[in-house]
Amino acid sequence: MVSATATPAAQLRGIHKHYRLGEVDVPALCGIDLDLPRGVFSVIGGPSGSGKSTLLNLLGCIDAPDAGSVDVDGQAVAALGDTQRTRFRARHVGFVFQNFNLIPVLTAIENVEYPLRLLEDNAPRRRDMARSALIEVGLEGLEDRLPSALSGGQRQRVAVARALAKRPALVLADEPTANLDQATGRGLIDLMRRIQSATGATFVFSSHDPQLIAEADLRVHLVDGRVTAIDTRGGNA
Amino acid sequence: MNSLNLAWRNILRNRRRSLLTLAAIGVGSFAIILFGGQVVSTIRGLYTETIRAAGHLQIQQKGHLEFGRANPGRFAIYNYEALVDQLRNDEYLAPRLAVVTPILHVQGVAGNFDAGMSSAFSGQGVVPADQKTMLAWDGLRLGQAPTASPLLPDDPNGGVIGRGLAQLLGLCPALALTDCAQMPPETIADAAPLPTDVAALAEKTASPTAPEKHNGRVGIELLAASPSGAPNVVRMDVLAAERQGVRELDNVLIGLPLPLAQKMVFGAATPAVSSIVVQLKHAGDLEPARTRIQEIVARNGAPLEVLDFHVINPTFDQIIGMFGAIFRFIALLMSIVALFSVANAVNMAVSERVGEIGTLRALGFERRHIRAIFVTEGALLGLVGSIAGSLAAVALATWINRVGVTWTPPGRTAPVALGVDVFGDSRLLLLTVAVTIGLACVSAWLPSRRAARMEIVEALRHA
Ligand SMILES: Nc1ncnc2c1ncn2[C@@H]1O[C@H](COP(=O)(O)OP(=O)(O)O)[C@@H](O)[C@H]1O
Ligand SMILES: [Mg+2]
Repeated sequence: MVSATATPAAQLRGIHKHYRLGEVDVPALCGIDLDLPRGVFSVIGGPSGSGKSTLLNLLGCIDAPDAGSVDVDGQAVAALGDTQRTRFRARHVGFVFQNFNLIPVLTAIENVEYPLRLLEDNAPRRRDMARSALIEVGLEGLEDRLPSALSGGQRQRVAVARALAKRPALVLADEPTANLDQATGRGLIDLMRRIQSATGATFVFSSHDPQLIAEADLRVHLVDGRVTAIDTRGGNA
Repeated sequence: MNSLNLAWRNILRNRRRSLLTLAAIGVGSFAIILFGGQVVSTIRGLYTETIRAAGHLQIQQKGHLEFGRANPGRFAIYNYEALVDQLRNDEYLAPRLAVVTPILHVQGVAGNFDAGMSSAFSGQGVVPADQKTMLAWDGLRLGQAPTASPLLPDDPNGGVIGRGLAQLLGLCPALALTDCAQMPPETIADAAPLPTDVAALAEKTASPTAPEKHNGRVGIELLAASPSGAPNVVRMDVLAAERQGVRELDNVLIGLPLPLAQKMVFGAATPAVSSIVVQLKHAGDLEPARTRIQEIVARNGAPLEVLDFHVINPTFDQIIGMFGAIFRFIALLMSIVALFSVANAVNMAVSERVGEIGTLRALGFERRHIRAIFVTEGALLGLVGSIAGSLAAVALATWINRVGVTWTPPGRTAPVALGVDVFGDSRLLLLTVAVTIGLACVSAWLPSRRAARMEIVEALRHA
């Protein structure tokens, strides 16, 4: 399904990552090779502790592997210095976090607009980008509310708007529904899915909920830091 | 939504802590400005007092300052009247001059010989009318009332003496001074037993008798050595006995009309003066005036030097130095308080917002952006705190100035207004606010660096 010439959205080769917990070595990822095709709504599935977050952190260029290489959007991440990597994230990667991670003193629209200042100097244009992103996630009319005045589902939609407003190539969401009730979580995944089809961006979220995992086009199964299966909607990759 | 706005919202996030920090900074700025304003006022008050007493510049024979007291003749200026005229009529100086007046220093022995009492004195002969003008100097426009000058222009024999000297000469009853100390009676233990007739004699001489009064005035004899070494004696009527701030002066000081002093020193010989005092209208003219006077003096060819009041009256600089030292010490303490309170506030803000820091870093904010966020918060704390403290200080200063408190600085008898002139030195308010902001940035720097250096993944775990 992926043409040989197109660079994948992300490419992992021989990835190893372990944490030190006092005297103990905790392996998190043990030899991951993975190509994430462009414009696909994918999921990293697996039980708690299987390495999903670690994998997403590597894809998001906020962590580095002990061994192996990470390419995002054709860029070898290891070749970038800290500041370059930060700028790369600002432009190419959108994050949605499990705990929403909104800035509590900023209103919904300010939360979306704030990171845009890294890319867009024109304030009115930033405001417009933020407003249309909020409309896209269905929060019209709630722009001026502080996060504390929003429900969990609304907060996570603000976070989705924040991740999407800059139109990144890659959107990463680490267990975005973990703090939402079933229905709200499903609604959020549907929303992300809709936006993904509309924008053609590459979405990767992680989940341990089989129902939500089933929603994705590409499903990567992790167990104990290893990929045990990759399957696509209606067939195996 | 700009950076300052964001910083302000974050400051408001923990109101209690921010209020405490602002209070610490505010109290510091308040103290610095209030005390600084008081120092400015005090210095201006002392300056005015000093200029009233000694003028801005004095022209003297070289060596007079060191040796003149013992050699009034040798270090005197003889052709002083011509020089005074030259200065008064100089095109450049004339509009800038308040007073040009000659003075003569003299020392010798003052006696209330009727009572058999005498004591050393140190006197200054002045032109009473000029003296009166000098003592009214208010070039800094402090609104300070003229200092009283008891010498009278039309009283060639009337002088003023220190309260202590009056006491030493046993003049208290005659001058009807009420606050004189009583001399303790000599006790047997103090002195060897005397024959009764000698004791009776001693009692008689020790108890001061009122001096002879001329025209109903109390007079004393002043004795000084002339340049040739022969003693001259003059009689001076005591118009007043004035308390001096320094005991040594109080016990010796005499102010008298210049001709009387000259008569005492020079007798029938050519009169001279010790010094020509130049008082300027404006302090700022001191240096150009000095230059001009030096030119005039040099033209005359006499070995004269032009000394400013700093040299004539070293206590002025000493008092300013003391206030400066206290001010710097207070400023240092307050700076340290501000430094620590801002550092603490920002440090706690960083600790509370680790998750937020991780989030911002993940979203693409660079380390320098994170540093800027926290330094801005620190700077804003400094700005708001110091402005609040400044406003409070200005308010209190205005109140103090309106109420009109006075105090008597060291070495003075005349009370001066305890003004708090917070606007007197424009640097005071500006520097206090600017330095506080600078210090706040410095104290925010370390915690902000800690924030910027955090591992993103690690920080995100706290979200
Ligand atoms: N900071 C850390 N220190 C020590 N061990 C860690 C750390 N982060 C993750 N791990 C360990 O690494 C493994 C993978 O963790 P993670 O990627 O968070 O899995 P998941 O997101 O699938 O729950 C787990 O065993 C976990 O305990
Ligand atoms: Mg996880």
